[in-house]
Amino acid sequence: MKHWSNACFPLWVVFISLTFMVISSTGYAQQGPVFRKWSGGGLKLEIAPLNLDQVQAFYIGRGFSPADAGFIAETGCIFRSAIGNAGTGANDPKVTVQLANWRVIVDGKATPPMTREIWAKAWAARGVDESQTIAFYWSLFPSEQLYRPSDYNWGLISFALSPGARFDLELHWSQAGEERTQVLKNLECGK
Amino acid sequence: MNSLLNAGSLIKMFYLSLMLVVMVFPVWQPAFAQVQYLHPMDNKPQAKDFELPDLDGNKVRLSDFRGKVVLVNFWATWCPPCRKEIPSMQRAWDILKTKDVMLLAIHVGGNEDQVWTFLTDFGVEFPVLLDAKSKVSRAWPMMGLPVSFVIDPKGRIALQAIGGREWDDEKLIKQILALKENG
Repeated sequence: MKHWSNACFPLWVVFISLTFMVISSTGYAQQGPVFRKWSGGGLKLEIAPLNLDQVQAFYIGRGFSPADAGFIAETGCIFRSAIGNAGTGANDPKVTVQLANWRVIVDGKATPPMTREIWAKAWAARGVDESQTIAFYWSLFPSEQLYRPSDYNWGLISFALSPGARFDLELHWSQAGEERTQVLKNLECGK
Repeated sequence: MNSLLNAGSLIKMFYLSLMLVVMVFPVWQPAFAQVQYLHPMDNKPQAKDFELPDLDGNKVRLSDFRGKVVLVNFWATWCPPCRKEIPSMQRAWDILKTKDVMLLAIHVGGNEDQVWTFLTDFGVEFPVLLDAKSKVSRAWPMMGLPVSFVIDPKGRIALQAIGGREWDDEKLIKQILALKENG
């Protein structure tokens, strides 16, 4: 029995791997609340929530006190993101993303993301040191960015939601001056 | 018997490792760097001069390199695409330094110790400057990290790249070197 089990082990590994690859390639795995990858209208986007421990560890590593790092984790609903121009030709159209125009939709109510400017006010109110606010500023996704083909940014995006909250995200961007929009449904904040 | 068991375990370990690679690789595939360009800057604005300390505390001024092509890269140790492009930047530096092109990598934000550790781990030899208070990065035309600018011999920003690049790509190196002739 044990020999049979050992002999079949490689087959199980191949089966599990192939299943995972099929699930990944069909996009099924990317429809859930954990990871979202989307492309259209010249825009490429990858977005995934960070759990509370990851957020706290990241910001403590940037010099924040545990209390302030905990404040970000509990109130900021942090997602990691990579956003860029999907164009592959040198003359493909430019894409502009204005984060402040995006909308977080919960129960039909729409609010903007927590941009750098909104967080700056929060840090001023909490009396956080300049070196931490600098690190925070650059860790967040830019409020506005112009992308030429092959350009992209990495950054964290923050929403004013509680851990585990579910929401739809309305994306807004322009491609060669033409306004475009797309809704990503059923995202979930880390917890 | 023990050696047979160990052999069995090793085979299992091999297949498990294989499975991990198959499962993890698609997640970590860089989706944004399949094709890459350095984009010409509209109107080639004059690069704002700066003076920043290197890791030994020596002051380095951009205008000291007037007459040369300078690749200026803004990065941070905690930024994943910045980390990813550093090895190719070192390989590019190995080429560019022989062609009289300067490279200045500006770390945005503080914590010199983390920068030192990072550079040692990655075997970085090109000059790294510290913009601890983010004064230069806020004054330059940039919104996120990483971002790179190529300055022509007249001190103008000629090319720009938002996001990481594979800097030792022959096409990018040619674009940079062309500024020596046509800047």
